[in-house]
Amino acid sequence: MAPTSVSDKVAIVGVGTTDFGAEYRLKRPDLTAYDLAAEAFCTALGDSGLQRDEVDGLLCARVPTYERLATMIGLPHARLVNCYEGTGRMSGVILQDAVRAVATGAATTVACLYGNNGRSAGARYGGSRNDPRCQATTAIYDEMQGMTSPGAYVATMYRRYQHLYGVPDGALAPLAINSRLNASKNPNAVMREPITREQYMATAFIAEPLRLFDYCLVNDGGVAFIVTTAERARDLAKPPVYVSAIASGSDLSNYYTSQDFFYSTASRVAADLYEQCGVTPRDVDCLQAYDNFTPITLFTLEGLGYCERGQAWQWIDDGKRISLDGELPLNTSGGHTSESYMQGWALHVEAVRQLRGESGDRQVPDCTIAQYACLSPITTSHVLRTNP
Amino acid sequence: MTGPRMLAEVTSVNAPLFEGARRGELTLQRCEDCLQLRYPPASRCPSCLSAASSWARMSGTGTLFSWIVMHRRYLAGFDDVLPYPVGLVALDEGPLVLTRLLGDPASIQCDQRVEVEFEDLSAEISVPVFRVVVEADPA
Repeated sequence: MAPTSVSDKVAIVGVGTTDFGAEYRLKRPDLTAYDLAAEAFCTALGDSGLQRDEVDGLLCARVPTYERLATMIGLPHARLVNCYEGTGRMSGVILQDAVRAVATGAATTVACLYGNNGRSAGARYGGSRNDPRCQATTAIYDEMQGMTSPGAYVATMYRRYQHLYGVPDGALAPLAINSRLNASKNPNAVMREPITREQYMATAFIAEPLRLFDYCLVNDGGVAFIVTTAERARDLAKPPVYVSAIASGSDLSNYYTSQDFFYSTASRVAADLYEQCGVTPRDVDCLQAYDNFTPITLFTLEGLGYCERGQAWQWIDDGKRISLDGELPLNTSGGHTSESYMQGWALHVEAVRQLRGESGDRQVPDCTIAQYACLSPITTSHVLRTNP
Repeated sequence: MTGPRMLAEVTSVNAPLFEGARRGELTLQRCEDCLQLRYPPASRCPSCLSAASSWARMSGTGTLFSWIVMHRRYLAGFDDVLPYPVGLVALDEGPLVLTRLLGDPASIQCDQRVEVEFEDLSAEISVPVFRVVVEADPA
């Protein structure tokens, strides 16, 4: 049975980000995750034109508790409140939960907030000592064997992908290069110097076959988006960005490694999504794909039906097809490898800015339909549009 | 990242895995009701939800689903082998096992055959590790 459609009943009306470049350069250790989330919230509130007291829902992630954040930003009586685990897959999950809440009337206006001071606090993605979540899993069995970190599990998928489809070393370079070029046109990006294929190939292996430039850029920062009803959205400060369809699925195992690279789950998610809104990959003006590591972008293009299985590395056509003036502009802000690793949150904001025409030098002309997708143990995807 | 390797807490659920490895046997938990094998150890069968299980000896051979080389130091206790290969092995009996690989990374490929060896990590804990089987050149 197809899921009930949210079909444009809900809109994203405000977005906010902190200064990712400044966070990276200055490493402001005095700022807590709460401070960063609150800063992004204030920006998003101003962007939306809503009054703070109209917000009756608060869904947050990566901050330690919702109590502190709610009291800090003066939302002690929200109808809907929760704090989700601090994994990147949760940005899409939270947007979808917020949209469902607004669509069903459980809340009218939901602030979705993210604050992360992990880099200045010394967080590392790998080693269960550093990740309270891992202590409740079977990660220790892998760690005794020397295996840890999401990047290493993604590298395991990518090696298999290379083996199955005859993919040569260096096939990921166009993805890293494309993101860096897009970031060079984004004043809020951390890494803004374009890179060459030679530079990409010269960077060190982390978990071979992945190199440093295949990895996301861990950083501090805050991101916020605010959703409300389509009715309320009509007379706010900015043009509404309608949530036309949402879909999710999962592929949970003892490993981050999916044996089919999340393909079957993503295919089901995509079918749900496109059925809800009648949009197909051919209609999408820009794709914001969760790229904690570059191979995930290839898996996303295949799982969502942009190209045939096993073909994405060739389909991108040395980056031409995914460039800002290509057929499918991809991760137009620079994404996680060049803008900042904001765990999917800033990719949502970039989709909104593109649809509003606010993306400056990296603006995709006539952008009216954007898609977000995160392929991971929980896969989510949404279609966002300027016109229902 | 200096210091000893971090080890699992030995529990009534997982102890037979380590005891088997100490004897030189790869043993996996098997559901007593539906006979499904499972790894890592767990208190319940994910197939039929039975809580009854025993431990069964495996052949110790399998096929390499995929593998990587860890170049970056993330974990204590691996400095002397860095960079080292790690792989996901499909045992001939079915289950997938994440394991350190023994052998020269230059000779490793997906779908190669692997066989188990054992490594003692502490007084209580021994673990299976896998070595890539290098086929004899028919010439």
